[in-house]
Amino acid sequence: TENGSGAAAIVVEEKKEFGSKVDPLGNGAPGVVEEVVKFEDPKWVSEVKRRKWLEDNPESSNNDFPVVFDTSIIPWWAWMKRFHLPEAERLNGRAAMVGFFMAYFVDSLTGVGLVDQMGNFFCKTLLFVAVAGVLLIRKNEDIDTLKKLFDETTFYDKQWQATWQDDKKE
Amino acid sequence: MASITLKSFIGLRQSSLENHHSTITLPSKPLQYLRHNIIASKSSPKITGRNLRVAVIGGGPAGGAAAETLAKGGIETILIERKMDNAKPCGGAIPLCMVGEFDLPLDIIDRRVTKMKMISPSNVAVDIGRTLKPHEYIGMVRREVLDAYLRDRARDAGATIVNGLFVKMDKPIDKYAPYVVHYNAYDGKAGSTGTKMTMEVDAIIGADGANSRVAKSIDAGDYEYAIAFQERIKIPDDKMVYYENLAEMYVGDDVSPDFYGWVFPKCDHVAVGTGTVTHKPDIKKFQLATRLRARDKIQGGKIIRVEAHPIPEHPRPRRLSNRVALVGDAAGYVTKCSGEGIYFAAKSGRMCAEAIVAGSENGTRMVDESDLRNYLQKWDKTYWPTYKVLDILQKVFYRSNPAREAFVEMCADEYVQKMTFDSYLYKTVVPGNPLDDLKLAVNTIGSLVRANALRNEMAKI
Repeated sequence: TENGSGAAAIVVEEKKEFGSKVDPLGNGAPGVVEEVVKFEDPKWVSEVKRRKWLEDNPESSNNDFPVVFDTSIIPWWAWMKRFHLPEAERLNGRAAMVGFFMAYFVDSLTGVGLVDQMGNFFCKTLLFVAVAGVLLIRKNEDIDTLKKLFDETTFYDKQWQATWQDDKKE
Repeated sequence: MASITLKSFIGLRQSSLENHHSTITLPSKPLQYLRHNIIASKSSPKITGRNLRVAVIGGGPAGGAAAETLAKGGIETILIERKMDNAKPCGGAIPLCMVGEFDLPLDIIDRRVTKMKMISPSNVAVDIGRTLKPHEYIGMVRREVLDAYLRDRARDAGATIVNGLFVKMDKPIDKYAPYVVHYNAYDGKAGSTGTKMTMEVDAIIGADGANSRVAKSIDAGDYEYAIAFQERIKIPDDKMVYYENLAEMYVGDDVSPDFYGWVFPKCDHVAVGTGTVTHKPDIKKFQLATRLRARDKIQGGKIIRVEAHPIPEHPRPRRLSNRVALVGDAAGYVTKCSGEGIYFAAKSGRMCAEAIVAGSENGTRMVDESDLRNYLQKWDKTYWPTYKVLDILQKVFYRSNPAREAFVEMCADEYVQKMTFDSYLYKTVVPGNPLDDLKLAVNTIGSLVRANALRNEMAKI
């Protein structure tokens, strides 16, 4: 039987060097994503390759060659670095605009200035809601997505309560 | 990531194109809505001269448990089962609490599984069972043995067991009139269509399984179901030693897009199977993949039997109608994620029978719908958390290969193993230590994020 990591090692030799960054394809093209392999350490690279190999060609699981990769060795900072989001500017702009006008609006209504607003618990809550809203609802379609997600979570509940719904008397 | 097409929830309200029930057309008079109130029916009349008669349709764990409880409660019980020696296609795993609650003799249990192995899509194998105490195990039974035992116990308690096939039922003409049950009595003669018989009963418990005819008679509605496909394989003795008290679970897109593949040890062979809800035509492909993943451990085995059966995914829209109640698979009481149904079938049969015994005051009064609704209310209250938790697990961890990798990774954690086994073996959702729960939540998110990040890397290659 083929040892899973042995196959991955062979694949490593065949492919090109993966540690180098790929340059972005010219400027001016919107939404360009940098093709950087985040995990440059060879053991992560080989695990990625092993999983990819097994997904395309599933193999028998064998007790004599146990898999020893432990994913918890991936350090925390690997998740912090993000790709450049094309919509980052739009989101930040939206958050700034909403924040500015809400601050102005509250000030005109109540006379409480920006610094005093930040001290109030209710205003802090509103700020939190505004930030969360901008993060969750990036496009108009996201409202539908969130609604669909809510329906999905409660679908099973509805199936169980069906027997308790009022139905038409025959 | 697997996309889930979400149908809007219809239940029994609108008539869809598939089920065209003439009863759901709008009546000419103004609509009256039937309110489901639970009121004590002390107003139902006392029966004179005889006991309450109840027919239990179906003699599996649900029917057997219901018939026994009814008979013990002093009610005249008739159980109708079409095939007394039916060897059902089933995983055959029962939790520890079932042995205690139903007083099962220990010789019914062929094997005690104390170890489980979970194998991820990339063959990361995790051993589960370290936290089990010496007296705890998952019992593997042969369905024909268990079902026959429960039926015999019902007979000993006073129920009449009839070998026959339920055909249809006539609804009662007025409020306390009896139901007329039409069935074909076989009387042990094989191959014959049986003699047409009828009997009058006051209430009916439908325990006739996933393709329930009783459910059809009361317009209970349909459920989504999974197809479970299983091959029984006799493997060489030296390989059988490995499965002495170990069961395996394989997860992966190759094995099933929304369920899992399994290798369960039976009395002298193993059962290798898989299931699916959304990709039923590909079930043979999934079975081949399951056998491939287990290939080294079942090498040299011979397939002695191939079997398949539907498994309900959620309860039917209507589980009760007037004095007819559904229990077990007929009602759709199978959990998600693990597909477990034997214990819930037997327990629901018993609960429904207890509600009838209580509502009829040991067979002296007539029952009506509100008594049977008590059973539904008790059932939903007791087991809803279990079902919901398993539904959440299925939604989160069976979505995609990275989610399954995270699932297997989570199962390596000792706290997870303890919680999982405690809730499986004793059928209660234990809240556990809040601090540990928080740690568990953080670890879950971490595993999911890691697995997805690895997946993103895989996509780049």
